[in-house]
Amino acid sequence: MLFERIFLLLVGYLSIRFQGRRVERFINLCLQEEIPVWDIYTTRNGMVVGKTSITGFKQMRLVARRSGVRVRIIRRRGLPFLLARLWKPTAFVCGAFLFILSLYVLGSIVWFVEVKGNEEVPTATVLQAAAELGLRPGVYRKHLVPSHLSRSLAIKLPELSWVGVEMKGSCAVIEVVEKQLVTRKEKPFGHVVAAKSGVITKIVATHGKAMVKAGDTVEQGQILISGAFSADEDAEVRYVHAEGITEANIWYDGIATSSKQRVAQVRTGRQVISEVLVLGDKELVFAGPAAPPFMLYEEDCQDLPLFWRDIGLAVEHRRRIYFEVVEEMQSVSLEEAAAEAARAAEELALAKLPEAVEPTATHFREELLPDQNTVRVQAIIETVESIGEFVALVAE
Amino acid sequence: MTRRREVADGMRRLMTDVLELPKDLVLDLPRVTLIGNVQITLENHRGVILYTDSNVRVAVARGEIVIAGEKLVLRSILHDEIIVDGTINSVSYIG
Repeated sequence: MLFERIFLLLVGYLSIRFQGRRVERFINLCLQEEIPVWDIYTTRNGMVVGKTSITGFKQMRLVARRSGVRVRIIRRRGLPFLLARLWKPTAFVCGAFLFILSLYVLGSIVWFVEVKGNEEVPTATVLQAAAELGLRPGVYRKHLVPSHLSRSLAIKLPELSWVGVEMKGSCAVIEVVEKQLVTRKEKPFGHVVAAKSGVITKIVATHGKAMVKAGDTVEQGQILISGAFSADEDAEVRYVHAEGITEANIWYDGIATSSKQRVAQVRTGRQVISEVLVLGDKELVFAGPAAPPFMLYEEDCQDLPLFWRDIGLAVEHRRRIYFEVVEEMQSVSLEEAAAEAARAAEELALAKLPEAVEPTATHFREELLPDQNTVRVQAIIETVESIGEFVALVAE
Repeated sequence: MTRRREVADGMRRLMTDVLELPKDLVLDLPRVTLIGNVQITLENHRGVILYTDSNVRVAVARGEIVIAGEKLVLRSILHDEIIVDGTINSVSYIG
């Protein structure tokens, strides 16, 4: 009996109440279905009460329906129920424990791998090499030794000169320094030729053979330093990438004329202002004359952009001022005319100068034309320029 | 009861008498065990007909057993055995 009780308490059982008139039929059906029922007694207020096992109670439902008896649980007893009751607060503790555990586990995993400092080497290559060494998202941090990893990575990737692996929480940072690989570009063979005509002032061949010397006049396209030469006439021809310093005197000139007696235009002081609205390429005169009012005139144009609250408008306001002029005969001295022509000629010559080239000397050549009135001046500007231009030899 | 069955019963009774076999097994009869007036065990039953705290009727082969008493409890109900606890005043067999 004692063992039976202990067993029942371990398995758990239910106290139930039977409601209905045909309790006997219910009991017999339970017997038939082999549902355990025991300790059936009548309480003081006439209720019939019994006990059954947990599985028995579940099976009872059908029997209860067939016999028209309703079954109610009064009391649950035994270890399963006790555990269930104990479990409730425990579940919270378990959850908290699980949370901390998962936090710890997740925190000790490498989630990200980052590559810094690479320019030429693609990130994917570094990541793949790292993955082969065991550093990839999802591995345990404890299994990785940063110093060991960085050494192995540097060996694995010869294009890197230094690799540093650092753990920043769940992120592994691979810092790399790339080797400055000096790539020697194969220079093509060829000559240095003159880009302009001129007189050579300085020629130094660092590669190849100088074909001209200082003082030589060279034509445009002439070879200055040869990239294909032989030491002797019998020796084999050597091909090099010709290089060197090639400086030459280059001259630029400009011609201008000026007259002693000439017509000059002098302003009379009369002027007319014309206000114009410019719309695209159309002009709309809204004040003043549409055409110049004088036979001879000088024109001064002022563009006044229209603004409205910092917004530029498509319409523009243009002011034209016409100055009346008359022609007057003027006579200047020969020197004055010459100087004027020289100024104009120099300006013309200077305009021909390439950028960043400074004139080293300027000469003027004056000539009084046969009409004894006009002076023609030629300005010659001398410069020193590097005229060498590399031309690759076509492979033969 | 038919004549044939009476004959068969008579034969069985005779056999149990002669061979001294337990009558409850051979004749399918209930075995009733009383422990004082506090517990009654009914073996070889056919189900409960009535249960109240003062009256329990149990079906047996060819009749029923009526237990009268106070605070009667069906301590255990198994396929072949019913144990009733309580204060038992009388046990009667109704054929």
